[in-house]
Amino acid sequence: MSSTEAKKMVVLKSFDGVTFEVEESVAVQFESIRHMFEDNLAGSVIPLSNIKSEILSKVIDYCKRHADDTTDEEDLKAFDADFVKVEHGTLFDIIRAANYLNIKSLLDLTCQTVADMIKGKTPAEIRELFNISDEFTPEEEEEASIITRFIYMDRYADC
Amino acid sequence: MSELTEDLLLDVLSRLPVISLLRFRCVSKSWKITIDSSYFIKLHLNKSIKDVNSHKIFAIGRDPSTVNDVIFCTLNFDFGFEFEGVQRIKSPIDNFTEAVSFIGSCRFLICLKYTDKKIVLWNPSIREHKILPYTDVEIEDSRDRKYTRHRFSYGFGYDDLMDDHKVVRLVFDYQNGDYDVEVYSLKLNAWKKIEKFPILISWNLGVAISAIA
Repeated sequence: MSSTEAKKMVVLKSFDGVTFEVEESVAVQFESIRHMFEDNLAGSVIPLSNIKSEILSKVIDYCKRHADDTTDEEDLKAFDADFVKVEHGTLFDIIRAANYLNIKSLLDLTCQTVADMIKGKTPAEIRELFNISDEFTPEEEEEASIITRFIYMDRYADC
Repeated sequence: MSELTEDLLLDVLSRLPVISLLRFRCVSKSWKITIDSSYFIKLHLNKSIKDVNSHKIFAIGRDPSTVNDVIFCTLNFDFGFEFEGVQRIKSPIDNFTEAVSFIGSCRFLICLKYTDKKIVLWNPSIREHKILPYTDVEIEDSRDRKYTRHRFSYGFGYDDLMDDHKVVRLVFDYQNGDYDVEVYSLKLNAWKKIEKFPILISWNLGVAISAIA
């Protein structure tokens, strides 16, 4: 698309009724809804009934930055690192939105962030984070943790 | 906080190191079922293969403090050929003083040979091992004799078609020039003799299993 040509815009509407006007060059990253605006439906509003405006605005920011060819790789890395510094709830919401819109790079970034965040946690911390009620009886938990204890007793482990 | 869907949770979990996954088997029944499932194990393996940090060099050595203890260690390597992150791993078999050597490694498993007869499959990530059963083909114990009559060659590989790890053993009999070939299947936990192996193989050349069309 040349810069003199009028940029094609796509209008997205969040779950809570806020509309966002986005350049088509940015919106093409939304793989799952791409066909909607590519099928000559320019100008019509695309409803995203399960994404809150707060989250949609973040996702659009991300895609804008990633659509910008002038940003160099280091800046993009710094942007990504900063982008995921949000509350856990927000991060999970972004994962769901990235999954719904099928934005692979964003899904990759956010899932990896959660993985890095949880890898050192205890089972109890995980239960709290993922809102899991403990279904184990003490005997079952004992059984499940046998392998784990075996590893921690291992005198050569992690030395 | 609301939960992630099953698919998204699998995506997150498949990025975790094995040591975290083992600990997270205690999170809940459903997490334990997920982590233990063969679907997840494959998903995790496929991700690890692509992760350069999971590529390790595995070495056998002697413990410098006790000299006699066999130790295993892993080294990370990147394509700049820098070695780092030496990590010691305890031997799968305790107090085993006999010589140990690698037969090979494939995916997440390592195949070790402790003597001519004791073959061990080992998953160092979860510190689990399995001693293979002896084969049906009886070979006299060469340690009792001054001169050995048999030579053994081993190979280890993964059969993609059958989703099975296999070990091949080739026994050459010096005295009469015969040789036996047997293949062990991890799925069946059994050896099978290959009748009429079509070519003569020199005992000291390596053998390996892989899916070649």
